[in-house]
Amino acid sequence: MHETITSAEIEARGHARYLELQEQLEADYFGQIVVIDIFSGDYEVAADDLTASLRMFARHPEGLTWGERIGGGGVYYIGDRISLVAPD
Amino acid sequence: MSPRINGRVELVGRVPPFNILEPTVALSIAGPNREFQSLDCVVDTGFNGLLSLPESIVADLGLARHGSRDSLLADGQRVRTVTYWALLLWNDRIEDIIIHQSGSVQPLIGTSMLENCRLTIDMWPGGRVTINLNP
Repeated sequence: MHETITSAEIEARGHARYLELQEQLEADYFGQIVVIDIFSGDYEVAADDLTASLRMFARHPEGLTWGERIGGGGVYYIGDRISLVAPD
Repeated sequence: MSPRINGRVELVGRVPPFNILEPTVALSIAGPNREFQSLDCVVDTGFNGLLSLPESIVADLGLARHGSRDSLLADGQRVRTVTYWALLLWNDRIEDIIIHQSGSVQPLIGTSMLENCRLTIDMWPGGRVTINLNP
């Protein structure tokens, strides 16, 4: 099942689900990491990607996940720094 | 003595008047078949993930897909990176970790891997690299 899903599809499905959840997530968990299972739409929030991913994997061992820092800014940086300003 | 991972600083090139130096340690990584391979990894404190691996090594280890993640590059570009699950032998334990597939030729250790460790580098060719896992 996994081999047929492209990265572009993961991005599209994950981002679409994020938009559904965005308002609530940003109100409650700004700056934390959300991990979304792209098949079920189920999600987990934690301070870091690995913690959220392991919880998600326990519930959906065959899942594939899309992740984002809630409010934006990127989950990872490669030679850069995350700049994140909370909304007023 | 607390557990340590030892490595060395490799001289990989020269941009006069400087040498290009890479602090390198070997880590044991496996895929779902649990056949661990020792990989020379460069310590990269500009990367905040756990580990990135070249595509060829990801394929060789047969890693299971994890998903896709947003990453910011040094030039401000935002890219999606493909991620995989891997097993890491760390401090006599086998840990599940997230791997970023990279276009780089070298495995990279990020700062998340080094949390609660003490990293010391003698930054000259052949210098000692030590990751103290329980300082």
